[in-house]
Amino acid sequence: MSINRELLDILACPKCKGDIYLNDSGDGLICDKCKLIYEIKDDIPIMLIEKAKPVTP
Amino acid sequence: MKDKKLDEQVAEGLIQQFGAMDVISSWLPFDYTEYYQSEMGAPLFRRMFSFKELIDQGALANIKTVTNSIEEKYCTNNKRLVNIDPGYMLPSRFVLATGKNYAHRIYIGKGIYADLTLIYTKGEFTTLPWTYPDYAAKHMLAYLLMVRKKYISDYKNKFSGKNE
Repeated sequence: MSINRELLDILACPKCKGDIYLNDSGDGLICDKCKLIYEIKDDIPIMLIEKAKPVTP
Repeated sequence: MKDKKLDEQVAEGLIQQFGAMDVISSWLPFDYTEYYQSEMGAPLFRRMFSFKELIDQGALANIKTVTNSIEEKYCTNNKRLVNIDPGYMLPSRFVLATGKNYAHRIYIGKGIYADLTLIYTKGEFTTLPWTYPDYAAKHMLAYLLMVRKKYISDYKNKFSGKNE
């Protein structure tokens, strides 16, 4: 994972502007409120609502 | 801003003018200066937004006049409720627009000056003698580094014909 702690602390969900966190596999950022996952590609989180995927249980 | 509830309306106004946002920060305390407190009260908070659409750096003065007009919408008794500082990111530097003239700032028209806030050298952002301390803070630098990385990727993809 190359998303550092400072970055995780400061990024917000573009939809609800709430907190996000790194998923277990380290390749996505999850917003629990919106139930969306933002993919991390080439170490860059894709923070676009239209590119986010629903979190699967 | 002091009233976080204004965030949604202000963000919507910015989206209408500049298109979709793609990297949004969480709320950060804005407590590095008391400059805005007499106008806006305290405590103050800030958010950083970056936009999906790449812009020409020559557009900065126009962009600042647009954000000034958005600020004017949120005024009571001639006091602003929100302050918006637009800027642009190049691989080599981060530049903010301001209406305040100082020796190190370059006039770019329409009553607006460009403030060279950070330069990128040897793999990191470097502050300058006039860089405001909030732009030198760890979290801010982490955010700006990510935005820089994303813009470089977007720029390359745009000119190589990729969608992302």
